[in-house]
Amino acid sequence: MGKKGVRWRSLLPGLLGLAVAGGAWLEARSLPYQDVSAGLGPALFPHLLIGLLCLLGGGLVAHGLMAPSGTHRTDGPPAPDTHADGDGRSDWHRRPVWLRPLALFGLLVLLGASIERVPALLSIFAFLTLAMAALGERWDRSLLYGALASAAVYLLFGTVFGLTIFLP
Amino acid sequence: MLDPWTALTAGLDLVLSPTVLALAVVGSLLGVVIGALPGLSGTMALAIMVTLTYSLSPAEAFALLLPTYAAATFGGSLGAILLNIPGTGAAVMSTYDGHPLCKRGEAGFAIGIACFTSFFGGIVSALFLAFLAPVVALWALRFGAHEYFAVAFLGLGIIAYISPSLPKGLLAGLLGLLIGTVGADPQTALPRFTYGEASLLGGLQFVPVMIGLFGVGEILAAAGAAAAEPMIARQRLTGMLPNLRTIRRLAPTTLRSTLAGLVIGSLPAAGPTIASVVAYGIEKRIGRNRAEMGKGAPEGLAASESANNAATGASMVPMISLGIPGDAVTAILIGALMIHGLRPGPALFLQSGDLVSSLFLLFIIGNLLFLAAGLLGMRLLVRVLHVPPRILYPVMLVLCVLGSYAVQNNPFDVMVLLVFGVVGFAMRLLAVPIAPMILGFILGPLVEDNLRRALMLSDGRLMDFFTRPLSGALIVGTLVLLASPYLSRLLFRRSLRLREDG
Repeated sequence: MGKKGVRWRSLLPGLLGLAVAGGAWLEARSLPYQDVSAGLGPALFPHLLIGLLCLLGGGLVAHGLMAPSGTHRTDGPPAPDTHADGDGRSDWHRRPVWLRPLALFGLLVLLGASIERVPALLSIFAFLTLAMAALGERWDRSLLYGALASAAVYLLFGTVFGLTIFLP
Repeated sequence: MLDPWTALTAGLDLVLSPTVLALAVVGSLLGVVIGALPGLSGTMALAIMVTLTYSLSPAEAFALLLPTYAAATFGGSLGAILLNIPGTGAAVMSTYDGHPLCKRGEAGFAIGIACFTSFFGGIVSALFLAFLAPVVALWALRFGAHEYFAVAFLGLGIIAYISPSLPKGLLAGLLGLLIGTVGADPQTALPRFTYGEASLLGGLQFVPVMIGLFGVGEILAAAGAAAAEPMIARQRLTGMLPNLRTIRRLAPTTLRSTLAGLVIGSLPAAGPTIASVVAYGIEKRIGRNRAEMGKGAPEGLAASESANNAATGASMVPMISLGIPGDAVTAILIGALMIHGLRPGPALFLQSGDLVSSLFLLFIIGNLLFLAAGLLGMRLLVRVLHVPPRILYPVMLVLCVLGSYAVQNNPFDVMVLLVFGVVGFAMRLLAVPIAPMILGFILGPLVEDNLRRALMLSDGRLMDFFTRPLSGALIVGTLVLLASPYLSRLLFRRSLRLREDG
């Protein structure tokens, strides 16, 4: 008998659906039902959705696991291309490509955490500079473009839209 | 009530003032730019711009807001075409065919289609608004909870149906519906899925969820892609003015989709997003070029764009006549009316007929202005998008963060943005469509509220959903649509077996 394959792009979403349904159930099980005259209560809709998610998630998992025998890995998450091209920019571009989204996201978390705690212009400038450098821009150009972009952002959000975080 | 002639003339005095017209021009330009740039959604822009109108007269306020609404709906398609990041929910369907056209080197052609079909849909909807608003509002009053539920169910079914994978589309839709339940229960005020967080009592905000899924998720995915090529290929924007052949080719689609946009948009609580989904679904079902839909079919883009702009004016019918929003944008416009002491409803037509008329006229002007802005300013706008990704992505991420924060001045919304950014990134890796999730999120409260109300009114009888003609037709039709791929496969296999046996 041939080795069974796995359809990862069905299995993983199915598992995700089941995980979300399970997590939601833990929270929603204490929600009360009420009379029909009161619209059946706050539990109806979440429970209905959780049930449907379980059915659908289970179906996707089953579909993912029941690939025809003899089929090896039939699909899967797109493998990131580890050959990043470059043009004499900074060294970062030679690192594995998956580091880029990770670095960007990490910097984004720092930016989000600094909102209302650090002067907005400063944190935005720092984010822009570091993020551009993380994506392969030279440091000197990152500083310049970061400064220009920060000024433009301030003009738009600080003066035109009057966002409060730019107020001293 | 306003008769058609009065509807278009009573407000001329208010509109034909230099201040009002200048504000309309500003609104159109801002609308196109803001709608196009990822991270600056039209909804967020309108929400902030409402706060700028406190000191303006009602006519001046809406001279700024309405052209922005019309232009941003079109502008959202630019992000969808050029970046695969829709600027508004109504432009989600435009990514299906608009971006593939751009990747084929036909960005100018795609933008031209979006421009002219949006303009056509917008102008028709503006005239529709003026002439038929009172009549349609009266007819729409007959809709009950069963029918509202059925329309929302249809919208969700269609978006799942047209996804590359129907089960995953349904999964995403269900997830969207579930996250739409976060917050205080609308009927009992009991908190659901708030985990003790006060910021969640009002539910998740639409803007950070949408920008997280479509903006942050897309940028993270793009940053992890192989070559660091520009986000859009350096291509000249040629062919923006459609020739006679293109007009003839797209005319049936545009007319059909405009009509769909008018019908769907005028339904209370249904707006440009559902309209574009339904129109796209119709085109995928009966359009001549349906085999190419999703791969760069001009018909797909025309269907989405004409429908979503046709729905903008139509969605203002229930907004003005009944005070029921068609989407987040019309909800903001209702807020703007109330800020200026105007309560939407039939009384508005009677007491402030000239103002209502000025709203119709401003909407027409807004549609004319965005066409001009789109055609004349397009090359300048696209230059912005030619900036290398390593510079553009971080700037766009900052816009996403600030755009999310600006909705309520709440850092919690930035956290929501980040969470949904990760969700969007993961969904892209797993090939789970995102559009059904965002639609489920928008429609969730509507679906639940009407489901519960319908059950209350019918004393728990589920059969009433099917015995009421319109509700029954819509629900059964949706179920048949969802089952149709599997039924066709079953019938095909059966006929194949019969042929082999015979």
